[in-house]
Amino acid sequence: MSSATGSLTRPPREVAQLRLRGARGGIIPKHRSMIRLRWTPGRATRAALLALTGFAGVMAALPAVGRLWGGLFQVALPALGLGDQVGWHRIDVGSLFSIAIPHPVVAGPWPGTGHFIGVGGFAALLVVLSLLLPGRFLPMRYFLRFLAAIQTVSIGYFAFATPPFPYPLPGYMGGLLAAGMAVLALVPIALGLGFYIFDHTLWRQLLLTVLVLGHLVVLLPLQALSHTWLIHHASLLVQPPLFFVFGLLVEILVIVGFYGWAMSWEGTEIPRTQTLGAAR
Amino acid sequence: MIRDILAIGLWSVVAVLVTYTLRHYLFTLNRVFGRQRQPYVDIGVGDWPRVAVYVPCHNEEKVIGGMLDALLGNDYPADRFYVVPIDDRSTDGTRQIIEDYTARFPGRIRPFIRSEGKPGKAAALSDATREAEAEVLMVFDADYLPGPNLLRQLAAPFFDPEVGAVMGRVVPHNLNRTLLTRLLDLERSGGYQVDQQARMNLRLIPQYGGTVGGVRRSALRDVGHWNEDALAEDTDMTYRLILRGWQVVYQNRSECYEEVPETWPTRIRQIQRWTRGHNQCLRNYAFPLLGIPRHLRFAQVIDGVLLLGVFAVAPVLLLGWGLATALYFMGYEIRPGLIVLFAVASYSTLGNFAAFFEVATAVRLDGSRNRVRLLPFVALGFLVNLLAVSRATLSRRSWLAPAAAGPTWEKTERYRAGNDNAANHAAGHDTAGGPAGGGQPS
Repeated sequence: MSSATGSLTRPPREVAQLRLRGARGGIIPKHRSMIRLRWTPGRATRAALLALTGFAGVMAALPAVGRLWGGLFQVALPALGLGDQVGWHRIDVGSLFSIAIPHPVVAGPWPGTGHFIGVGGFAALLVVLSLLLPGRFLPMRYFLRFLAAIQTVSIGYFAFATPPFPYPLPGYMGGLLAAGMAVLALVPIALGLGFYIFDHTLWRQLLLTVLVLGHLVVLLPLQALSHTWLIHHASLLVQPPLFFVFGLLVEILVIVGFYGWAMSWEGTEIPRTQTLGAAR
Repeated sequence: MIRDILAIGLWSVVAVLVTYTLRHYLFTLNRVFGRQRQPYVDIGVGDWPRVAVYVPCHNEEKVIGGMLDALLGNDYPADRFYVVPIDDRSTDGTRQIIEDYTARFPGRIRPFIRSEGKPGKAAALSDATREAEAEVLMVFDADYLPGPNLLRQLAAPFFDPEVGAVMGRVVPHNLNRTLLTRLLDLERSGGYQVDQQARMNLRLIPQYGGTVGGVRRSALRDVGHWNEDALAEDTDMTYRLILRGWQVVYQNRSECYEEVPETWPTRIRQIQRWTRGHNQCLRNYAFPLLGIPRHLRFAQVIDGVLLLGVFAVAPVLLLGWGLATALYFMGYEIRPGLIVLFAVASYSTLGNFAAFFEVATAVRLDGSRNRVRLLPFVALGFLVNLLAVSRATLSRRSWLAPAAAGPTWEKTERYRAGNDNAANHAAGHDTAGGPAGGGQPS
């Protein structure tokens, strides 16, 4: 009796397999509404190991990344006419961990009349451009107006404020790059939660990690240099929009871009289905 | 002092956003790895209940013919269902098309014509369903294309006497038209494949969505019929059913095809309409729900409140941006340190990643590959939604008493090229059997 009950509640493996067998012996694929992945110890261990190893690996590599960025700044700053001073911001966790984060030491000038006219004109241009764009570019219109709004607030602030600005350019750069390093360390954790748990092969999981980290390691100092150059020439007026719109948000979108691409890669369990339309 | 107050405001906004972020992760991980609860999907044979299918129409000449064809081609026992197209003051050729079908399918098409009373879908449904004979009352919008098995799938859960309403999955069929339709396709995937199914899995509160679904007649009477003043009669019905102890069931397997907006202005109007209706429900049902009725679990209450507040999050986020900007210019700085640095970076990275994770997961589970590459563009849709929803939330109509606001027909523009099916009928061809696009993918 107990075995009969057992067979009702938990069909034998063969019965379960037969349920998926087609009339001609093929496997009937599951409908997409029912597809799921099994949370096996192997999958959990692999995802956790990859995430933690990745995190530890990035943390261990950060000092070298810092040196790489420092070297890049020493070459790029003079080439851009921004002097040759590189500052180092040190973060220590007791005696366990220490990292020096380089950043350009360049003055961000307080805005003068010319800056107000130039940047104000640019903000007005953004608004005009947003009005000229066709309706199908509505998100771009909103983005341009959002950018113009932040720029206008910044202009309003500097029109009435007196020096010093709470966030001098070298400090802003140090903060941006420190946050960028933290994002680098968090990439394996984010992928552990959102990518390693899926049915991709190990080499694809590693490939995405390397692609994202490699891209960010190159992007972050270039982003810092471009911000520095812009602020140095256009004054502190442009620092707030750069911070709010073109700061860490850029890194997030880069991660999402790569992630979207990687989620389109073939896996080992979830089948590709062809449904309505060819472009799914 | 002002800075401290603003900082408290900002941290409160962060707390709200973190709550919704955690919900994204919970739902997504549950959908991927949890036991998929689809208890009624295997029911293929039974003493099928009598079903009436209601199709509210207001100027739907482009699509109503296709809808009626698809319904008539359904494999539900023909003697067990009939279709009630509700024509509410259409000024185009809708009524003529309905009359044509009525003449051709006597008894199976039973039109309900309205020329007076309150306008709007809720009022039209209320009038038309009041004297319903059928046990199960299904509702479809006129632009939908149900597949041949859909009515059976949606009727099956009603064998369970505790089920008050059933909701199926909505899948766009015009996704290849514009960037917007592709983005809406991704958004719909996330909403149904992950959100709704996770709610079903976790026995929370799946939402009855007002189309591709049905309500039990006795449940409808128990909750006092459709609320004619509701701007979102579907959400309103969901909460009244839940508060009265009925179950709402989501059937992920039951797919139906819809036309999503192809232009941004149409999309904005649509989401603003949803916002006003949803916020009306927030006002009406948040407090009754927070009273924690005895038949509801605490998790259901939390989920119900979060679902009610989902459209109110947009202005909260905007407020957060405003506060962050103000504090920035006031020189507010969090005390620097490694932990704080990681906390802020985690919030930026993992917090922003959550919504993309949900959408990408849904699309992958759907078995699609190419379209998930559009993932970063979802941010564009998000920006438009944020502003449109905030504007609608802050508008008077979101918070006015219903009588003052007054429901109307706020229709979404239709894009299907003319009424080919109706034209075929006029020429004497029988197109019953459903359009080609109405079949369900496997």
